[in-house]
Amino acid sequence: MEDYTENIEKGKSLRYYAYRRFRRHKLAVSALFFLIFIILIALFAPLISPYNPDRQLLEFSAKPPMFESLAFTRTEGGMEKVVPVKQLVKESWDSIVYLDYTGKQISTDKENIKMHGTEFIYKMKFVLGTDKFGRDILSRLIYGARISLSVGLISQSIALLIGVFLGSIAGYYRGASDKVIMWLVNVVWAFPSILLVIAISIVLGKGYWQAFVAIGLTGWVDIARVIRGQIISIRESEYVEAARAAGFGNLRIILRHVLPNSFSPVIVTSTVGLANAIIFESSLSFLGLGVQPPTASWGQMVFDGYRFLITGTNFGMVLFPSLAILLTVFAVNLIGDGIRDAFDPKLKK
Amino acid sequence: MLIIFGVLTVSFILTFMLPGDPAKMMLGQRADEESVQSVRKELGLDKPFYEQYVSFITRAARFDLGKSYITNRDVASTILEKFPATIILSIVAMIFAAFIGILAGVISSIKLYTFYDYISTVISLFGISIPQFVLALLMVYIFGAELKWFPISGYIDNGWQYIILPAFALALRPMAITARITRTSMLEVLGKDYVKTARAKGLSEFKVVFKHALRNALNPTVTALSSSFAATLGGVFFIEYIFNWPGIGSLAMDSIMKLDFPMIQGSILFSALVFVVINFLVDISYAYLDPKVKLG
Repeated sequence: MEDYTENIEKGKSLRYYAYRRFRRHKLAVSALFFLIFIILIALFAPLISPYNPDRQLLEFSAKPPMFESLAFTRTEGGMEKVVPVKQLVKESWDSIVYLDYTGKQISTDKENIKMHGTEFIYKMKFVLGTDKFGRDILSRLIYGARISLSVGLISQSIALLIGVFLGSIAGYYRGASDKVIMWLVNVVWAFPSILLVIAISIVLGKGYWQAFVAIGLTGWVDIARVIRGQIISIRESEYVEAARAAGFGNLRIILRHVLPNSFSPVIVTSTVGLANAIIFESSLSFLGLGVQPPTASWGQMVFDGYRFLITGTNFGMVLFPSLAILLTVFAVNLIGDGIRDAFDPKLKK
Repeated sequence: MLIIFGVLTVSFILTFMLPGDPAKMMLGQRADEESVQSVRKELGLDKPFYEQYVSFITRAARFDLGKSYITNRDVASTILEKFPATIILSIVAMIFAAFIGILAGVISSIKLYTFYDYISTVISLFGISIPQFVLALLMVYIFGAELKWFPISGYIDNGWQYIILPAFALALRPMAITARITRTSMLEVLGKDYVKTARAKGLSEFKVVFKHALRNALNPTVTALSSSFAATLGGVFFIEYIFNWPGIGSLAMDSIMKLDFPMIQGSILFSALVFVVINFLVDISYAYLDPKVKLG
């Protein structure tokens, strides 16, 4: 007797092949690394950021990228204050004579001045320039990543939760509950989503959590549609019939058999949703409805720069936050593309 | 019809929940209590929720959307006045999107995996990824302020140049979607037997691509274009606002900035209605002119 079992290749799961195909998608993989990079920046913002993102130094208003200046830190009643120095005139062991940005010559003793390393006077460098309040654009970008990513992720989780819940009920039970849920889906879908997001956040009031609730309450519709469609096709399949014949309850069938099999289109839909959520967040901040100042957010930075645009001082005020939004959304979309191709059996090479 | 009813209900609930007292907003913060009360009565704000709801629905059915808090103008007529500007902008944008999007998709599909295909894929992903307000601002800066090719703000009655930038900004997203869908469906069609037959007959490549392949590949493209037309009509807010285009979008944005609630409610409601009606028309038109039947 020959043993045939040796020659049978062990079957691999769909996810295994999907993972292998995703890895071959070079653009998507680099996008994934880029997104991880942004997430790390957001997580470790306080460590990476060169300066305090909210500190205003009006002397440095709207300076171009790579702007440098001397400065020293003075302690006044327990508070630290950065004093910009236009030009150092004389430094002796106990005092500093300098020109400030109005051109006035000022002399000060070193008693209240904090050492910065080994020097009293140190150099500040603004790699991406400053905004009109003299805040460091790079630091604000780094902190802004926290807002964009967290609002995007939380709102998308809300959308997923609502969408999966309503979508599976509609798809699995059909009948009256399906009709009601699909009616709601169509109603929400009819509103231009950005207007709905704006309206809900006006109702809830401006702010951080209001932003992601508003975006989440708008974004679930697509997910509910996709889930419902998937479930309608899956519930007729043999393995669901088998599970039902085995006497399993509805909840168990939905959670263990139906949902895992409708996994991939949902992931693709929610990456698109995540990209849109980041766009919505920045749009809300652009309108002043999102996170409130002085907290840095990318959309607000674009708006602040926009008001300066016509006079054309530091174009980086608009350009850099725009690029940050664009690249992040671009990366998320690329990853979504990669996942879709990876799970598409028609594209098997 | 049921959906329109739902749309009305959602907009009513949203407005009902809006913070702030409309009567105080109309009269200004320093109004005395007596006149605030009389205005509340006049607006029906002293009635309970369901009575306000019923009166809202009956008024909306007559297209009476109330008056602006700020200008005291009739909301419905203001919206109708602004609507043509939005339609013109959307149509021009859709023409851009269809023309350039289909062309880019076709070229991509016949020059598959070349430098061109790669560039066009990346550009269309950018087109999907860029927020409208960012795109509009960049265009204002690059083509308006720096290169000075086109005017950056104003309506078409000043000259045709005024529509170029806003229409292009509005077109980029549908253009990107069109290009991607056309590419995919062209790829599918190009492998079909009738395309091979056409080639074997010795037809020129141009004829094969545009007469035989493209016609059959257009079906999903048309679907995408018509649904993005509805989305475009509802998505003009930032573009109109930044380019100062006097349509529904800038009306809505202005009212949001000024917290003019009847105007906000009116423009949201109107945009949703337009969306529902256009999708309905598109659905009907499919039944009448299935491109496969007509062109085949």
